[in-house]
Amino acid sequence: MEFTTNNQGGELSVQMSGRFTFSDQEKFREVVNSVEEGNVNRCMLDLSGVEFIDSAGLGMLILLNDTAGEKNVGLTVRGAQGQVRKMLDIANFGSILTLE
Amino acid sequence: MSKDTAAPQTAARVSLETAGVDGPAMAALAERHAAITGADAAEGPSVLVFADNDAARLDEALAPPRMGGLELPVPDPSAGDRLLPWVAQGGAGLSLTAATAYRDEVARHVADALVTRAELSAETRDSVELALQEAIANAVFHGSLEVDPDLRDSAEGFKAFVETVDARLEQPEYGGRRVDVLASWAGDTVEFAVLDRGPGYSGPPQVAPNAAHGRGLALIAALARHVGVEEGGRRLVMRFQR
Repeated sequence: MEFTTNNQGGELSVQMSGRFTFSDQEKFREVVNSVEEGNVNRCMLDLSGVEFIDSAGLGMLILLNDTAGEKNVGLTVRGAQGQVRKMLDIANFGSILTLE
Repeated sequence: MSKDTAAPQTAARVSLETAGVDGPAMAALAERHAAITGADAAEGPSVLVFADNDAARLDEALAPPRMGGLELPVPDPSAGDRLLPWVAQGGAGLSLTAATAYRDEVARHVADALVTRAELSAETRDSVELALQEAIANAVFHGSLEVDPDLRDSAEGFKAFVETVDARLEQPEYGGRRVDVLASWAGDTVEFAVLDRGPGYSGPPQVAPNAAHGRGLALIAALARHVGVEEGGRRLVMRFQR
């Protein structure tokens, strides 16, 4: 998984690409940190470049959502497609996260 | 297989090809499995035994006519104990350290190799990749590294989880543990077994819908036609329609 972040006036956008799996847990900590520590009001996580996600990846999305909730950061997850979209639907993430 | 064998025997002899593994280690491996190894690569199935952890090894090991790959970075008395008999019986597979299974997208490599070798449909290939990914995750994190999965439910715990994983991947007693991914196919069925050398587990996990972990086995059950937990939780068997 690769990601880029861009914070514009408290609006953090995170663009992820590649495979988002158990091998990315260390890297994803940086994403969680940027929501936790940064000057962030809203976070937009764009998954349109992600081609494969596993249950560890789903778990990391939950964790990011929980962290955002604790910090009063509004999180929106958007752009999921293909296998990623399917996984979010199977896990019923629409009822847990704000999906676009 | 020689024709004058008295006992009923269907196994073929497996030849061992070396890629960077030193002579004594290869000799010790062949000696331990003398009953089923030793054929000429041109005659029977062969297994690539490698010491480096280059991800390209996985594709080499799974490309015909080879039937598998055995990672042997340091002497290991358990090396080949599951893979070689499996290959002798006609199966294919990889026997890797947990550290390599963590790093090298093994599920993707195996699923892709099986598309050509076992003629998996595109739909089955995708189910196989995800199910293997989940089974390998369990074998690596719980079976081999023995990290507490509950840690991942909080941001603080997640940091501890990642740090523990990172540290243990480097420790031979955890990261050096063997994870085997075995495959066989016949008729309309393809079967996989994922094995670890950990403490095992019992009973199905209970998962809350918004928990950050614990979905792996449920996903596998939804994807596979049959799932079996064997050997006290150290062997997960999954069958799919090809």
